[in-house]
Amino acid sequence: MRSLLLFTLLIAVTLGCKKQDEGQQSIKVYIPNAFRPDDMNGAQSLSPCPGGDMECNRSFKVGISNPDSVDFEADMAIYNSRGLKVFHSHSLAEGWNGREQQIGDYLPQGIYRYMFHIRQLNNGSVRIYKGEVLLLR
Amino acid sequence: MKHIYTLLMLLAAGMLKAYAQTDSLNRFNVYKSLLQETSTPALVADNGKHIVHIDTRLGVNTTESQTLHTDYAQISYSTQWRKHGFGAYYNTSISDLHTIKTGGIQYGFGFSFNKNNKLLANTKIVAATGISITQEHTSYNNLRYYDQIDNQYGFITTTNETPITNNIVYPTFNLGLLIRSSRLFANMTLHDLNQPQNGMYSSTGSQKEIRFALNSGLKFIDLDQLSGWVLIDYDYEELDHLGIAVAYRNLYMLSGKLNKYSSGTIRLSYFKPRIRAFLQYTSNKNPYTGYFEYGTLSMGLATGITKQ
Repeated sequence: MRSLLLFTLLIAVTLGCKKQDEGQQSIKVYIPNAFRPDDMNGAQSLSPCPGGDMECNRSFKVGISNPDSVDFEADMAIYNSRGLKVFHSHSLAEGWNGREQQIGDYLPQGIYRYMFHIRQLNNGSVRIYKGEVLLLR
Repeated sequence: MKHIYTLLMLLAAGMLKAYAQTDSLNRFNVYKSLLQETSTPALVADNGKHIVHIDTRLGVNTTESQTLHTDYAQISYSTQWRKHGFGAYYNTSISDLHTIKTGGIQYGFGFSFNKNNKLLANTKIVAATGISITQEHTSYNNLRYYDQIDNQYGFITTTNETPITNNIVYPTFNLGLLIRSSRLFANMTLHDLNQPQNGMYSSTGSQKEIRFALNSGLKFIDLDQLSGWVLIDYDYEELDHLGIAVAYRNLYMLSGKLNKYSSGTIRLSYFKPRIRAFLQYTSNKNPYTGYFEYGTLSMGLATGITKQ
């Protein structure tokens, strides 16, 4: 009986270490909490960003460390202050441009909520990121 | 914010205890529990005398345990004198990034008539207007932009964004029209008629657009103990809603609405002659997970403070 318990413990420890090793291959996600899309009169809001990207703050998107090192799927949803969804995408690269997705109207300046699901394909782990982002014009 | 919420609830509880014998809310009708808790100026001329209304909204997440946080609270007062109604309100929405505070006054004029048919029996029409002052404040020290990200080390650089102000104050004008009878109601509001500028980056970069909102319902079940309503809503920010409501003995009402984004709202209302309260939960179905998540909990309480 004691041998069986020791064997079970050994298997559990081994599986645990394997899971931890897989977790170490995870990506890091950096999420801004403010962005500045186009003005409501159509004028573009250009900002000098690193690497010559003049539009990096014009949409709400996330920074990912070594995105090519790990395959992952992502889901992105934005909610207004009343909790209703205004934007949804299966890609993090697209970003949210500050408009209501279905109608295309400019959304007003203010606080919006986001929720990201990022699933790593190498180990199936799903991480949820949620928080507030300020749309400024 | 938690203290404000607690204070408001204590205030309401004190009012209920002190004026438990008042008869000031006996004009409350079922339809009022279906109107949005804010931005309905026409209600001031159909609410009765000396009504205090408290609303609050909490963010809540159904997918993981998360501490509730209050992100919106409003206290309002209205009173009615013959065909005239007057109201005042103050609301605040606070976060670490952005704070909005609004104070306003409202006036409404209403008249009643009674037609000898089911649809227009006990009809009342109210036209109303309101003016408010709003202050928006942005905490730039707490903001992080995408241009500050280094993909290896995170937010290590300073942003190149240069806003022109972190504080802006502007007035807004609203109009409201309410039509209600024993069988139907329609409350229409035009917000931000003066289209104020509220940009933090340029004086013309962000203009509040005129917003039209409609809350309407038609009673299709009218029994002694039970009534049923079909609901149609439209709001600039919330898209359109289609819903249904069932009221039992004019004490309890359960209503549900759904919009084309699969955003759903369920509201439980309770109303007696001296009190009107609701608890509402809004959630969204995520097609990725299949679950309803990222909900918002709202609650409201109205009570009278003097005798008629």
